[in-house]
Amino acid sequence: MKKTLFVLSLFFSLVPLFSQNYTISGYVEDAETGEKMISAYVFDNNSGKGTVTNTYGFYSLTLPKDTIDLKASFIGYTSILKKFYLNKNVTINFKLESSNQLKEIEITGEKVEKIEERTQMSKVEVPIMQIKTLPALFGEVDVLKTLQLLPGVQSGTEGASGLYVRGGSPDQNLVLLDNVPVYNVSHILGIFSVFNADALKNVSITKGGFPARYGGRLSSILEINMKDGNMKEYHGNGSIGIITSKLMVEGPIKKNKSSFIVSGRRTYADILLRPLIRAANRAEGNDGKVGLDMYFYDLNAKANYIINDKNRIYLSFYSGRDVFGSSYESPNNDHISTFAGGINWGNIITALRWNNQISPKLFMNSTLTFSDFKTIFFSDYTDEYQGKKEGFFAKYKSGIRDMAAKLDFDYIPSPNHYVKFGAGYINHTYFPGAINLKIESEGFPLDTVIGYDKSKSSEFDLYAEDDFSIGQLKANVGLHLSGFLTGKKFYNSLQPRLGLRYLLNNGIALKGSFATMKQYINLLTSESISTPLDLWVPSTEKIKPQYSWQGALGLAKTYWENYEFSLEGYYKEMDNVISYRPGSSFFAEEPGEIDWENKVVQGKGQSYGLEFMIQKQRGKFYGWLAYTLSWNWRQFDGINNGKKYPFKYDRRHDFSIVGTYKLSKNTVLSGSWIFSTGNAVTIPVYKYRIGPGKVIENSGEKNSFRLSNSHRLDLSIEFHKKKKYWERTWVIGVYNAYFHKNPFFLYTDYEYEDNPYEPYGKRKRVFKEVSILPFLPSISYQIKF
Amino acid sequence: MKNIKYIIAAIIFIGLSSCDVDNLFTTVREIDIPEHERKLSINTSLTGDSMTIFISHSKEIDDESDFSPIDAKVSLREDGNEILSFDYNSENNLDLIIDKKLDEAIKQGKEYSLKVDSKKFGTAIASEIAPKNPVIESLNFNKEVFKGEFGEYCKFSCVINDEKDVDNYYFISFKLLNLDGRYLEVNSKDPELKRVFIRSDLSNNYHSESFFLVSDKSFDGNKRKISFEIDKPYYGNNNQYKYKVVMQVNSVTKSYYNYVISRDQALSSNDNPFAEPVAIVDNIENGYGIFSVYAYKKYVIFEN
Repeated sequence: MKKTLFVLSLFFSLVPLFSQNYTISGYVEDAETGEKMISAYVFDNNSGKGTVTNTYGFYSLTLPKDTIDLKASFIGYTSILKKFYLNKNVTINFKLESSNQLKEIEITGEKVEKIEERTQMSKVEVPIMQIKTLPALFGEVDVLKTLQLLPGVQSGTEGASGLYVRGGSPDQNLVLLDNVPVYNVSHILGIFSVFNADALKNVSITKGGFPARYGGRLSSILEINMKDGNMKEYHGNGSIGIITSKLMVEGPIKKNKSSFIVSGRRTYADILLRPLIRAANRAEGNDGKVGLDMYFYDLNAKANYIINDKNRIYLSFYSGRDVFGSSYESPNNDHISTFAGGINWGNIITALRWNNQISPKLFMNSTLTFSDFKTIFFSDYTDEYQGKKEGFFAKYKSGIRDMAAKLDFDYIPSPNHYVKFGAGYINHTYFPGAINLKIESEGFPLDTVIGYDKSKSSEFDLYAEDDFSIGQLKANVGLHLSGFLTGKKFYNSLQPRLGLRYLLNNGIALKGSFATMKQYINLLTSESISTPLDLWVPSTEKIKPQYSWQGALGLAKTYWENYEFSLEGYYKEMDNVISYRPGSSFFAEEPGEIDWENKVVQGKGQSYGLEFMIQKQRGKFYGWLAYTLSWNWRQFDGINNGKKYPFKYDRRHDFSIVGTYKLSKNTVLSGSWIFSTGNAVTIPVYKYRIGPGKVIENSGEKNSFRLSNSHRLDLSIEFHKKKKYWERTWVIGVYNAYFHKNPFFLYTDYEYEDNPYEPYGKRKRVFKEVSILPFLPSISYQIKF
Repeated sequence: MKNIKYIIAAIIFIGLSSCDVDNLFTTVREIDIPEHERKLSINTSLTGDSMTIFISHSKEIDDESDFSPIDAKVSLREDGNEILSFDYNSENNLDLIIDKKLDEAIKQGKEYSLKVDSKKFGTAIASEIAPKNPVIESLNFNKEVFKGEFGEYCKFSCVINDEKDVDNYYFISFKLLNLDGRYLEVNSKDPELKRVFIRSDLSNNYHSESFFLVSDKSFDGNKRKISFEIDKPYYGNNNQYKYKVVMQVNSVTKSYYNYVISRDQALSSNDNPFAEPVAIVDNIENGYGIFSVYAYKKYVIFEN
């Protein structure tokens, strides 16, 4: 490894010898906390050249020998300007100070990299401070629900955290927490996301124009970075809400050398409900013991250590789990019967990263990761009589476990080139649903496993990309090579990537992109409902990898220094997308259906649309307005007679307006309003007789019916107050402020016209939309110390 | 800004007071059902020299009134030439099924067109090419009784000789004769065989048949052995009753194959809220139902 680094260092350090340039490199960090800043802008006013910091706060700018006016800026921070004469390679670290005591309230700042200056299109970054001020369901700040308010990103059903990006399904999103894939991103059937905003530093989503460094999913890359932990002082914050309580503590392990952050969140409905259920049980005259588990939790932890100026290591950890279960123990004379059943699921994620600044122009990050997602569903019954115990135990287990290694390099030879290259390897282990049945009985003992044992696959990728500029043209050109070994089958793919930006004379950037993507793992999920029982399964000899290509064209410009406008049109085709066969589901109806490969079909997807966004990121008022006009289709042999049909989440219109306004020094008002076309669903629309006594109900074309349109207003207000030792905040919010009945699902029923309670009169078939999230007020108390 | 707390409190109060407290978390709203144009529904089977037909109509999903009788003219053409025509009137019997004898048996490769013309429900048409007779090379019934997980069974296999470059679809049924009310359980471990649990809607025999479908996609133009496990139909003294097990191999059309598969999927997933919805596919233009044209061979594979 050392030899490789030496050779790389030698090669890249020789390059400047052929020019008269020198390199300024270093890090940009928060002066108060020591947190490294992602995407901070470093700009030389004299030459007009600039760059942005990478995920680890590192920048490198190579300029000719001259006087330099180097300025580092970041939203919400006061810029720093350093003047010097550049006649040798120098290291300059910037420590930016927050421009406001209450920086969460008002986002300020000076020059940042404007949207028209970036080659990358279809990427949106939402500041964490903005996510934290937006109104949320039950007052629970939710990163994924905020992203649903962006153009091209749709929610599934109301209240759920699933992301449907430009016609893709949720499994086509690569969700990375500190560079580690997260397989299960939600709690309580998708109502809350697993990301605790208190522990996060940065969130960005890329919907298209994927640079070559990304791969493995078709539709989006969601990058979430955890905070590193305060290097200077111990700090923390906590909150008590109606659903969860949270606590975050951070501080130095050794000042300016190493730090930690620990953040936890837990719901407590079970703690409140358990005594009530026990009391109700006693009131009914039952002697049995009742147990109840109904909670989820998240635990984020991270530590980092600065070895020296050029080396730093990070260790991050996440564990989150949903637990739902109940038990009942019933003593009855000599018998003691016990029943216990439930379901639990969750992720464990760890990442060990090593940053190494090999030379002023070459930065390396190496990562080792472990990710484990598991679902366990169990049902146990035991009966004890005169010391003899009999019982029935069933346990269903499924999941996916990844172990991965990754090497990424940033090479910045000049302000006109930013080269990234690297390689990665992932070892996937799948547990695609095995049922363990056990019977303890003298007459009929049984201990058997039905279904599948684990299987493995290997995935690797290599990439190289260069973001370069020639005059008014900027381009990002790259290649991504990936391979996948599953059983005896080897798949590979060479994926070209291209992003272009041309700055027109009027300052408007014309952007275009093209990307092909390949995906080797699939989430087997029902279009009807998503549950923790959904299975992650690999491509196999029979099930081919998913493939897509996407082209996009757009315009972007910043007006009045602070308002970013963007308009993008996209067209995407997908192949080998997966769906359950009609009539199939997670539950096997026939013995042959235990094999998941027999239950699915592969087909095509097509989506296209137009996205418009105005975003204001700074000032007393900040927020955005977003509109998406889109079409989204699927086509499978064996579904809808082979004809293409609208995908369930085909929504013609999606509109959102999101804003945060600082009413006074200590008061912040936030709101969001969304409108979206109703989901496409299949319902029986007619019936006919096919024989004596035989009536068939049929739906006609798949997804040909629409649920009602959804719209909703959410509001929240924060009251901040500085106390002697801490700052407290009351947050009062309302979800669905004008109580619009947004459809959650549709069901069919009979109504009896003569007497609604008498099922023998004249009846009428009716369809009913059910909405489950009415006007929901919330309140939480937060402290920050 | 001092008043902002009161404004928030007012919003909460108005919101809460507008809620139907009984249904605070679950609000049900009736929706309009899409309009539906009533059309004819037809179930016709055409094989050998006979045609069986049942005609009714479609209606709105929420209409719980009785179906109307049908008064229609039916005509059958072979390669465009009319070979049969008659009136269908179910005024006195909504369950009317008409069996008609043709002058000649249907011929493989010929196109048969059905036209049903009703003043009230319009004209529905359907066309199918008559498939060839299946070619069965051999039958092998092993009388040895094996013990399975759920009872005793015998092994049976047949070999189909498939015609090359033609999309063939086979519908295989097993029937137990002379033991009324007994169900004949037949299973197959063949992964390409699709077991279906529906039966002809034009027959009244509910309990004594097992059905399988197979497409020749994977064995086009080749011989294909298909194995079955046939449960012993009667567990008493085997000699006490005389009975027969009959296998019928039908060559069916693609549209009939798709119809049966989709209908079976719809029925089997009816009560499963997690299952993907199923649309039943049919082959009637400007109407609903199925016009099945098939050829078959029938074998007595066991006789007690």
